[in-house]
Amino acid sequence: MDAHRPHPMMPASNHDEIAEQLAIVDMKMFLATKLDAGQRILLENKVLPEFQKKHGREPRNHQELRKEMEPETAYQAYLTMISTSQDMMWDAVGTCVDRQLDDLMDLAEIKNPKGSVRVNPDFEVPRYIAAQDIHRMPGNYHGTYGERDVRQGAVFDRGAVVYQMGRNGGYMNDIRGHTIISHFLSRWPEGMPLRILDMGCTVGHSTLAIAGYFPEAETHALDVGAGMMRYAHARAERLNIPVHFSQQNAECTDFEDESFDLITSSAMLHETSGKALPNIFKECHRLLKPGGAMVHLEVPGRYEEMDTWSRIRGDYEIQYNYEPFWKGAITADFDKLCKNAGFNDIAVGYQDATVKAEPGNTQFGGPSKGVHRSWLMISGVK
Amino acid sequence: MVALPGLFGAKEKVWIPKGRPSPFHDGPTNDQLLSMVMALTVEVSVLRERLDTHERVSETKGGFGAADVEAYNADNDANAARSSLRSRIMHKVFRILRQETARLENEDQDYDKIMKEFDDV
Repeated sequence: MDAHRPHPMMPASNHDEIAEQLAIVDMKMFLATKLDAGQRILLENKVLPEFQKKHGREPRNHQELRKEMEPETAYQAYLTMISTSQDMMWDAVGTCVDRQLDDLMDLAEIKNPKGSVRVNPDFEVPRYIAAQDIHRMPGNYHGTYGERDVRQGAVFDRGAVVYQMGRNGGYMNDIRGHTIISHFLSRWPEGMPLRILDMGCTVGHSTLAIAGYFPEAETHALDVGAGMMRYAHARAERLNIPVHFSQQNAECTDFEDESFDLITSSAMLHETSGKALPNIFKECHRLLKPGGAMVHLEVPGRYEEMDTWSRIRGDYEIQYNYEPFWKGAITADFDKLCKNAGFNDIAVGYQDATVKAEPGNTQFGGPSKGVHRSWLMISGVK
Repeated sequence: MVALPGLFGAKEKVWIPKGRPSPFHDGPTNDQLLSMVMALTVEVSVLRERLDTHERVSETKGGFGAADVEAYNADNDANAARSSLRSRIMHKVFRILRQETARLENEDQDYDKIMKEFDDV
């Protein structure tokens, strides 16, 4: 695979741009391992004992300790560096995309497509997306800058490689798609859906992996950005996998009742809201044929399993990585949400991440192996 | 010619994320400084990688490679030139620290008095 242009639609990066992206990956890795470990030591060896001494009691919650962390210069520097490295990443990728945006828009014009793309000029972007730029990505998932624009798709495609630090399937970023099907085939080894819908698909990282397992199926995918959908469509066409993309809200799509055999999403639910979640599950139920299956993938790690430092770190995600529903998603009662929406045969648990889904695998149901090694699966049958 | 990152003329725009600003330090100066150091670190990494590419490309084209660079012995002239290059870098990077102490040495002026002088005029 050529790092300059790993697939035919991805924005090309020259020598120095690749070096810049890799340096930022390494910097993010350094922060996530070495400096992160230091914060835990700071908390456990200094901040906590000082709190106990000062107040003569244990802290009531992680927020009390977070407030004591805030004056620590090492913690301040850590926070600055994680937010700055995130901004540097989007800037590096954004400047790379912007210098070739005209070429990318030309590349996105597909003659005789096998799939399709539908955008909606009157689309109302849900407030939980529009309120702030998720992951600090300027322009967010939905930013669109003209009728042929594909910028945010291009930025997200190249940026996700840097953001995931290669742990989600390198340049294709498709391990989550394989993992969804691995879960599906672990529960239903004979499963052969003929109509598939992937919700919150962004550029189609997971969608194409999912579609690849069922070449006879008609695959649809939706997300909230017009530019994102145009890019996703061009990417799928240039990778020769037909998918029908449309700009839609997963809470209320325009598909008819009982349109699909399988509905999926990859790490979409935690970018929604407490009000949206039940709507999305109900919409999945409406769209599935009787006997059809829903498989949502979410971030691993539940709030109740997290230690104090992980919760403090989580507060950063919520407040400064602009993930307002991060805590809501990892405390949500998914079993109840599925039941309330009318699903049967519900399963909520961890599936091992994989690059190849095997029918009848037994990689579901164990403990979480950690970020990018396991994913939380929420599945059920109509 | 290969376009360099960041050099895209009229299209240049500073993209900022929509969301609350990050007040991690008591004042913004330390945050800004740290951000600049991080950006510099990446720039140095890019430069270092470019040098590495030069050695590797040169070697595949029958020119010198990393081993030739390692085997190179600087003569006296080269060493002297390099020493002044290094001094210049130290001077540039640590100028701010020396400025602080240099001021202590020269601090013999009463600036409040000078302000008054001009005010009076």
